[in-house]
Amino acid sequence: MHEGSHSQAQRFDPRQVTRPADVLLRYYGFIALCSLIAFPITMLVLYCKFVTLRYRFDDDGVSMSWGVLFRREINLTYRRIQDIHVTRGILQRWMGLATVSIQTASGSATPEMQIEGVLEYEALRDFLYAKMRGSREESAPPAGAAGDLDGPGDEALELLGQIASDLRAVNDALARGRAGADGERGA
Amino acid sequence: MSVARAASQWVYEGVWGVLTGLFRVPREAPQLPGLSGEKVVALRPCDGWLSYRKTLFWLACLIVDIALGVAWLLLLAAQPPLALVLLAPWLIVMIVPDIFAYIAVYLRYDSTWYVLSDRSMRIRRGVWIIYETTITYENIQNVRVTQGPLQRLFGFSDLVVETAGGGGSGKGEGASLGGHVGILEGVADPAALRDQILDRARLSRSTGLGDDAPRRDFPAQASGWTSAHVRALRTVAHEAARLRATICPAD
Repeated sequence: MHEGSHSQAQRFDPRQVTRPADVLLRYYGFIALCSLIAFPITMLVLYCKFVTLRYRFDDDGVSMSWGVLFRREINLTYRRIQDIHVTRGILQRWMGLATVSIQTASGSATPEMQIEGVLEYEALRDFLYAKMRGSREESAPPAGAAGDLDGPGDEALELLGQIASDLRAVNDALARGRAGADGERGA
Repeated sequence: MSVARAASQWVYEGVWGVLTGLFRVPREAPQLPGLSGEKVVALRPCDGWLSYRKTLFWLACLIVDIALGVAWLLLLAAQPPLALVLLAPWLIVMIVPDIFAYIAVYLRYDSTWYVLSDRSMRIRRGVWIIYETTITYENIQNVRVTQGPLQRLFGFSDLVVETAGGGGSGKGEGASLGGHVGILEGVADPAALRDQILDRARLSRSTGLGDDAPRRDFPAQASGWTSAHVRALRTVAHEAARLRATICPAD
């Protein structure tokens, strides 16, 4: 079952994602309907957001921007991601949508970035997760070395002993040299 | 009794059938992409948690129904004909929400998943709105274990992990939606899980703020020094001090 999701993640290339799926506009329509009397205003705002919404995933980070009058742009790097939330309301499930929220270590409780309208949200989340700190071995001890904790520890001890003896030799040599120089000067 | 059990089981399966079919609620555990050979376990809250929720349900049920019963008796004393007419709807109001609430207790239990791997966790909760949180242990700042008296009676604790950043109040659905927290309710053995998470966080030498960990990261550095190491280090420091004193005596 892991194979399946993995190959799906490989097929999915987030760099291709620049615009939300069209179905997001339909979802926004339903959301706006929920605001009842304020429907025209909400719909206008959400429509503008949908039309101007842009995503850009590159090697180091992701940015999104939207807005007509008030433009907003959010940039963050994958390494700074603290946690990833995926929220799916019932409408979103029916439409195959999800909100992928990314949080960094900033002080706000609301997620820094909410990626909406990506149909391959599972693959996107796996992609972000793989880029996240601590999801792979690189920032943690290598798997091979983790098993034999004594090996490197003893090696470090040995190395320290070597350094100490080296330093002692240098010290002794210097002391001898100084003594010799003093002797010559004295003579 | 077994017939009743089978019937309730059948009803419950029917509810889940509607939920998965019509409302697209996934019943299986969420996936966590692990490295090959990595152990990924999918956990549920423990049985004690279910008993605890059921106890809370019965308590709430008792309070509400006693209140409704007393109200009906008062009505009976004041206006007997009206009270008798209202008896049937009154009973429906008393009983039907309880059934839904009882099913909801089980739904909450069955839709809550904690998927743990060696380096991260994924928490899912919710039926109408499904919240899924993914946190790597590396990013975890602290682990809180809380246990109330009733929870102690049922033998479980709540485990709250927090990542850096503010805002998360640590309570309720809103926190799991927005805050920098992951809540694991109903953990039977919180100490083991806490140690697993904290060991991982201890291995990491970074602050968990998204900074790149140093490339040379030996387990020896993280696993702590023995007294032999410290002795050797003392010698090194002593010799280094001598070297400095010899080469630049002016200092």
